[in-house]
Amino acid sequence: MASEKVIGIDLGTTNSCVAIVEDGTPVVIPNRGGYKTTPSMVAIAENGKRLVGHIAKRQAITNAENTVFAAKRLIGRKWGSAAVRTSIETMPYRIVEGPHDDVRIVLRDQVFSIPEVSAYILQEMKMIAEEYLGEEVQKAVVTVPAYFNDGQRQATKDAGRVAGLDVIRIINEPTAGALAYGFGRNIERKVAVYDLGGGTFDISILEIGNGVFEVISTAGDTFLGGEDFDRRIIDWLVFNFQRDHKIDLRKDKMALQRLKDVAEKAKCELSSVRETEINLPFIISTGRNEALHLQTTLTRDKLEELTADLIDRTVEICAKTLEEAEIGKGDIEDVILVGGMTRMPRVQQAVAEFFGLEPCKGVHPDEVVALGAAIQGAALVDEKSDILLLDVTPHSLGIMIVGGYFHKLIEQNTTVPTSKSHVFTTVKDNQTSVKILVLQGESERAEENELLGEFVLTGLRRAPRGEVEIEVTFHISADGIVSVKARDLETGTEQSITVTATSGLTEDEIRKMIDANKDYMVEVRSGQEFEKARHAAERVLDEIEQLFPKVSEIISGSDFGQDAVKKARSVVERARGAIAQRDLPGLVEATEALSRTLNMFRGVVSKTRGA
Amino acid sequence: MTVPSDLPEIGSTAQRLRQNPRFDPIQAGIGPEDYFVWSRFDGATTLKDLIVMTGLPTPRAVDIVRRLRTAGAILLPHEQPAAAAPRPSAAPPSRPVTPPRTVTPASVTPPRTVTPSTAITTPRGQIPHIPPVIPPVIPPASPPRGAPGAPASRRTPPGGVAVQRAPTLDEMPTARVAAKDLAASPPVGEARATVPPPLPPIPDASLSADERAALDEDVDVAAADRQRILAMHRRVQSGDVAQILGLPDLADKKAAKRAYFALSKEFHPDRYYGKRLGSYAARLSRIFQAVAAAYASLSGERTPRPSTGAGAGAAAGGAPAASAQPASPADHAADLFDRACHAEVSGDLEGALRLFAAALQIEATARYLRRAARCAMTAREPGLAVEYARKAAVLEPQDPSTARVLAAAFKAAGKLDQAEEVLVMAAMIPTENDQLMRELQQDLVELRRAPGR
Repeated sequence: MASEKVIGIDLGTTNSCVAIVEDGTPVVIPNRGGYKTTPSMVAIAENGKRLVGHIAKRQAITNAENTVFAAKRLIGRKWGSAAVRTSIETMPYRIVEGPHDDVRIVLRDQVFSIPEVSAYILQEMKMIAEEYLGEEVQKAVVTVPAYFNDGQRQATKDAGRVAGLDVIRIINEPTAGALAYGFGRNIERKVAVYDLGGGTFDISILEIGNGVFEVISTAGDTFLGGEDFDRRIIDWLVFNFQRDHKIDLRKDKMALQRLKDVAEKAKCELSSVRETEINLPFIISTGRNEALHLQTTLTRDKLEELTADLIDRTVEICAKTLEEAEIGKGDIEDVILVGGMTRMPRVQQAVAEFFGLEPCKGVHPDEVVALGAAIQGAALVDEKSDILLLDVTPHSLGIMIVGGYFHKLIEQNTTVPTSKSHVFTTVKDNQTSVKILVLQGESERAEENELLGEFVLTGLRRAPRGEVEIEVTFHISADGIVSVKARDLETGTEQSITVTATSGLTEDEIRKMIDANKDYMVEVRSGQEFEKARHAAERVLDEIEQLFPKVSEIISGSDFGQDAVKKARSVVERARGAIAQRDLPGLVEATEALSRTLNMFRGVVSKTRGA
Repeated sequence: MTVPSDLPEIGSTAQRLRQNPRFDPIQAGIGPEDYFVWSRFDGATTLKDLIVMTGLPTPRAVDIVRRLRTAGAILLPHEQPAAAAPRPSAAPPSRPVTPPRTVTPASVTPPRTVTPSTAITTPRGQIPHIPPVIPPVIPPASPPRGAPGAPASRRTPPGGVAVQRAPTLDEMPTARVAAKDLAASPPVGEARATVPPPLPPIPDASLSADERAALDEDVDVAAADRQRILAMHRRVQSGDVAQILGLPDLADKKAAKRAYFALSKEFHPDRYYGKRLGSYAARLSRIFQAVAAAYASLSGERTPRPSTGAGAGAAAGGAPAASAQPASPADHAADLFDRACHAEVSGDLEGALRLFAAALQIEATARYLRRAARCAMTAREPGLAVEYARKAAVLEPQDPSTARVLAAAFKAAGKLDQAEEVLVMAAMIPTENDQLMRELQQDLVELRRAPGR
């Protein structure tokens, strides 16, 4: 009963790696050149031939405009996003707007989507595996940075499909790192995975025991990685060159590409030596037929000085993640380093200082992710597997509610599969339909989150606002597929969607949508926003005002009567004041006092009547 | 007919027997009459009296008692819950133990009787399954659910040793970790010892139409797995944390984690990846979610905290269960509340607050909240006191004693205006209880004399 082969692919920003579990042992599959990693680069040569991997990298200098690297930074991104803006500035290849507000790359007049470019890399990895195994491979587990959103994950899946691979699961890179670390070892402990790769930084906390890997918390920064370190070196070189020669090397794409190569090389070298020569002859011509050379020395100290804030940022994210997960530094029993950047001595030192323990050096930072992906692949299809990964949803999920707010139903870092329901009500009188906008993100404002999908529930009973109740249920399956259902609790009518891909709307469009759909909004039944609080307060105020004359009459004779009336008045004024000043905390507190007052009023009236 | 003075396998009827807290009558599928008799066992009544008390004809009552005894449902005075296995073949230790290192290969022929060998949960593919033939009735020899100690000696994890090999030194990232491993990690295999309790199949007679259909469904799930999934699905519906995780002692966090992991490994939908699951897909998903929720409720980690949950987190670990009884939530809360009061009286305010928080997390009645608020005031935690008292006031808005507690809490928190407001308002309502009204007015007078007024 040989189970189907599933390869694990670490689709990295700068390098990719493929692995498989063979006879119970995870192994990295070397490429034809014997290298265990393959550059994540795609180029179109002059003759129109597509080049992938090492060969693409080797010709990059002479063909910079037609060589794509770091496509991962663009995958699943919207045209208007900051990441795309920066890439347009810094990448030697041409980035254009796609038809769905997405991003396209132009290589020799041919337009490629980002999933297509990624697909070429995945295809290469698939081929490497097939040559090694001598058989066709169809299934793969592909890794992504923990902080990738649904759109980026979906785009990565799409890339797999284009490459002829069935991506049976997308898992997070640090999680994969932990799988490789804990595989085949009977351990019970909490570990942190510090993953500083080419383009992204991730930190995950996992608990391992009895072959179960439970992700407790995960966080990261999709704009922080080895390339940022390279850029610091480039900036330094460019700055010095400009100071000496009054020429901006950035303006020359060829020079920029050479700078990039040399920066990366210098950075790697400085992990083992204390200083390195940077030598770029004929870097640029002055226009007076005179060629200039760039020659300088970069020391490890200088590099550390240039990048200190980047490393600090990773440590800050670690601290924040631990805090949010309510885990003490002392609870972490091992730290696993993942990603090529963790070879930098200063990074290791910073991690050791922060966690107060030497990071584990048993895993290979470049290969560990692919190994982990292969392990998860085997765990899924192999019935005898002893591994189970309990993964979490990396971002919160919810819907948009009245006022353009985001109401979370499923919090980030919730173990999947999971489901959650919440009851919402209508916001307008005679509102007969509601539109459910499914969002992902952490911002309170709906438009600052990612829109995953939308649908409309119609046929609601005509009723005063707040009377019709709609139950919204979110479900995330073990493989991360999100489905959302809305149910009219009176009629039982249901509408649902399965979120498959992002619609590619800009923030602007969503904002417009919010305006256009004002009549279709729902509101949280137990929300804390101001509007909600105001509604509640006003309702109570109305009733208090109605009861006031009666209550005043009844209690005026008693000892505390006048006191009580005065107090009730002041409570009412306090609430009115809070409404006028839109003071939410004040209003919440005043409403509580109002409710108490109302209850007392009711008590007075009913007990007196009964007496 | 008089009750005999001795019963076989039990002994003197003058003994006071009690219920085995680990026996689950629902899972065991006993009849209503048996259940009734079982429910009479309180540890205080002699067996003789008890048999008379049932009102059943003596021979029938005796039969039932003997049956309950055989099923491990009742304990003799000297017996410990874990030792209550039916026909204990050896004296098993009362704590979960390391499974034997010497491993007997799994018997090729299916066991003729359902022995506790069905209890072990080993990696997938190594589960000694329940025989595919569904027993027509629950055999009397079926083990008491949740007695992990008892079947230990019979556990035969076939091939389990290979997976449990100790990490070799070269696998150790650093010497430091290796040393830690040896010191802190349990001996190899102990993690496996804390497996979820045995999960007997649902007796055929009590299968619902739905479950019956699921057993015949055309899906890629082995017969034994179907039984286990259906049984577990029933169990998670109880909503009882101790039952779901199969834990006698909810305070043991490590055991809870292991139970959670072991159950995940059995029922997480990924364990059935790529299979046609039909109705089992939803069942597995529900089981896993219930298990995860049960664990989260114990660990306090990453549980979405209610915004008003004062001290909710404090409950974690702060409630060492005194008894192993999986009581109803309300009973459990009452028990915690009693212990909290006791702790408060004996001066352990911190412990009391933790226990109150635990009780309130399960059930927040106005009475509990008032008492907890008072305790918080004594412990000089006015913020917490206000929080509790406010919630009490929401539950019982017109109750004068709640108003007094709320006012006192506000006063303790330095919010004199609000304290006064609450008292004045409360004094408006006519009440028959003059004493309470006088106290209320006295509070008000004192408040108005308070410094700062």
